[in-house]
Amino acid sequence: MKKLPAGSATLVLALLLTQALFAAEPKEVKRVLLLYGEGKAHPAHELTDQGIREAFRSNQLFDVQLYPEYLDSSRFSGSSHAPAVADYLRRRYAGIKIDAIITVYPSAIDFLMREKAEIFPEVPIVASQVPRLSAEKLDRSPFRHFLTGVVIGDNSTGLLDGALQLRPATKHVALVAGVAPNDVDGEQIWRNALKPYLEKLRLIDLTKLPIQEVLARVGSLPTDTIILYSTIFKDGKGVDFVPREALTLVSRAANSPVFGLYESYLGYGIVGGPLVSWQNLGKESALMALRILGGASPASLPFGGKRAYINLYDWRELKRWGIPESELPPGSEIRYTEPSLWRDYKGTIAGMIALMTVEALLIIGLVLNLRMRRRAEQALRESEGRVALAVSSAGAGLWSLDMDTGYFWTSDRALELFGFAPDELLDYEKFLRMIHPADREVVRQATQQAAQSGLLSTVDYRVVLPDGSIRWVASRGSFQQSPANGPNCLMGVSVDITGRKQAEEEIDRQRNQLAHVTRVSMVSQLASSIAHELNQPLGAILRNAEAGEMFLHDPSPDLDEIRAILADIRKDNHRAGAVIDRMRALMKQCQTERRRLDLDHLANETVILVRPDVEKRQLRLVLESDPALPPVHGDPVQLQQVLLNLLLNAMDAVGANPPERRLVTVRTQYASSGVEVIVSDTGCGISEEELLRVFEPFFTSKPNGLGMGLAISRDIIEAHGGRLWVENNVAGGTTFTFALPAAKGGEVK
Amino acid sequence: MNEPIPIVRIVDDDVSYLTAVARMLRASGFTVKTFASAAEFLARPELDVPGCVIVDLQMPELSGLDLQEALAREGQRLPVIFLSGHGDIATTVRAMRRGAEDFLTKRAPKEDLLDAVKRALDRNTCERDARAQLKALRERFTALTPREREVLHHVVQGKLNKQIAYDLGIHERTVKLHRTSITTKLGVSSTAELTKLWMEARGLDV
Repeated sequence: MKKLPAGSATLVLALLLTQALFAAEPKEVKRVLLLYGEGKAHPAHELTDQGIREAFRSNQLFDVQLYPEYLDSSRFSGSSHAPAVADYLRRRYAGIKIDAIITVYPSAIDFLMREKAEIFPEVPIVASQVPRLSAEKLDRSPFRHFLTGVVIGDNSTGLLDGALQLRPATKHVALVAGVAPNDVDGEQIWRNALKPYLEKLRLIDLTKLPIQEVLARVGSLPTDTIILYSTIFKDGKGVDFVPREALTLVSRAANSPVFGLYESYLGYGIVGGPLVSWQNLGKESALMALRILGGASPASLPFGGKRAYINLYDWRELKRWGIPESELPPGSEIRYTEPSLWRDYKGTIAGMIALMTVEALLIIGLVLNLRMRRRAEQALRESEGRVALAVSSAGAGLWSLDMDTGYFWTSDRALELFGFAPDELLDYEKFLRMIHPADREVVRQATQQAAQSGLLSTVDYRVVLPDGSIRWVASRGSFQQSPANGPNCLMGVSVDITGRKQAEEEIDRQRNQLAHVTRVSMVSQLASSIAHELNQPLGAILRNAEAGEMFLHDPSPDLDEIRAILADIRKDNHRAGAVIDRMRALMKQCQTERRRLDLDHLANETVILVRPDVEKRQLRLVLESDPALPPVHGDPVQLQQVLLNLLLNAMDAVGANPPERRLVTVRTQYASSGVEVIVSDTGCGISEEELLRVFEPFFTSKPNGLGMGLAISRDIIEAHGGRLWVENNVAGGTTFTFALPAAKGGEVK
Repeated sequence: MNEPIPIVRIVDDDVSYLTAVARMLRASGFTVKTFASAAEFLARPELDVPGCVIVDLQMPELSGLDLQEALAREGQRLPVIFLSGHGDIATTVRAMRRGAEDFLTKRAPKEDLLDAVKRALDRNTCERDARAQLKALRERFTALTPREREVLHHVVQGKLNKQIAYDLGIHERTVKLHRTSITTKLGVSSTAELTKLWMEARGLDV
């Protein structure tokens, strides 16, 4: 063992010393009276007492001395009992200064409220385990300034829900309770809790009966019943009971599972559930008392008792009623399990099985490995031959690039691909110079990235051949770390893809043309709207100009008015200009131009475009836009075309409805599939069969439709790496959605 | 009677145009009130004040035609001039059939618009005058007693006093007395005048 350095030895010594010093200092003595409502053998009190003592024991501040007293109020309920006990307590504590009182059960606090002024004037009280109603009363009472408390968890609803989850077929619920005041209180709590359930469950009332009758009745309950056992301190014939002993009798005689609220019932015949923990309640009461002893005012401490439940179940009862453990809520504790080999030696058994399995797998693995190696050797020989054949027949060029020295080795075919003479000596810079200036940076970056990731993913670029013509080349490769090639060597393969690129460009061009044609046909649909939209500002300009002229005829014209007129004319001129600009953007036939753009802005612009048409057709068009939408990468003209197409379709779809049900909604949102634009209508929807065909070219449901709109729209969206789909709405009508991937990084400018 | 100044009400959701046309009409000497929607107009139409309504045909929610219909339902006779960004035949026909005063595009020449407004105001004045006259006439006839009315009915049919007396079972002298009372109350001097007045008042349910 290592020796401790001298410094830490001193530190440890100092710590020990201080601790000894603190321990030596005598703690202040505090006396706490524990006033229990029932007798000493009352099981709930036993558990409460344990909780209280545990909390006081672990406190560092005071030396707490406990004085437990038991009122036994269920057994002695006569009118002379209370004064007699009060007298007894007064005499007994005549010479002792009590610092705090903890009462347990409502009977104890009730007693104290009646007698306290005489026995323990001005001593603060923690009223533990009082029902919520009493707690609310106490909270408002004049005693509140020296009193706080802990509410007994009235978790009847929680327990009931738990029970019904375990027995979902339940139709009847039998309630068992006695006649003592505590019994009646408990019964009332249950009755209140049951009220909302009585529409579905039938209540079988077994309260206030003699025990014999209870036992007879619980043995012949209908199937699908659960029994709620409240308490029996005293049965219908006036016989006294310890509640959990009566519970055992009930549970043994019962033909249905029994449920009860309290931890102290577990093991005596209840199935379990979220139970009230007396120990936790006791602990909480003691902690409150400690804060009061430490100087806190009772009035400043709110009533506690909110978290005094624990999920406990009796294994024997679960077995008896055939309730699987998997049904229990997570975190449940199961008690009274029968000893079993698996349960007690789970770890050891599992370990052994695991060990044997591993051993068997190892043996199988070794055998397989041997066979695989033999096959691999054979396959390698074959594949080398195949690779050579494939490379030459695909016209692929091989190369390797030493990243440290810049040495660039190429096969003859690669040399030819890059446009060099057959015997030329290469380096990386020379190679870069052959690449089209617009692609040079792409290639440089891809190489650098490959140096980091170890993989050169496919990069397409143009090579300018000595005769000035362009060749498209695709290259890919990976880093090889074999010593033969040096430690930092990128190996790869390049092929000529000029043919493919030309075909792609041709497809692009055709798509553009087709898009333009459909766009123009759409614009012609909008023509009357556009005329209207232009006539508004033009009309305003005309009227303003006329008014201006008239003002000028006046011998002393109002110059301010004329200035306002001119400003308005200018404004309307801009408005008319904007209409024309929007139109021109749609009409122009241009090369695809991808840039970052805000779909929300696009949606706004498009809605403005159709607005006059919307008014004329008496529709309602609602735009629900998300202003925080991330930008996308795309061609604004083409994307607007798609949206316009969807909008015009939706407007046609609702045309047959009465005006109040002609609603078209455009929504933008950011979802998992990307930036979405959603166009919904309240039309009559599309039949299942047609739903599959709407995107087919020349499919149309309109008398004068071309049938190209949706086909070209889907083509445009897919060319943008997105998706366009259609669904029928549940409430009628159709929803078209297109989603585009969000552009990488940053907000829209 | 002191007739209030007629007001030209303009209803258009395009505020730019609304301001401009109001300016022009004010400069032309009209009293003008503007409304940015049909609902705003219908909330406080002040129908007692003479004038006319210029309304944009295409507006969100309530259109120009809706406004015209609402006025018609209330039995109002304010003349309505429709304006449209561009007129299409179907709506023009619909509007005119329902008694639109005029139908103009927003860029119609100033003279057309001013003419339309003047025509509308004239018509409104005429209609109001006619209604006022009719009202006065009705008041005159209400002064007659039931018996006098009975006699009047016979008189305008060209019957002689003797016939009337026979038909009504009264004395001829009594018929004469009634006739004098009728001509005095209605302020006419001859049977011819009486018959003319009667013709004018026809349809007034006298």
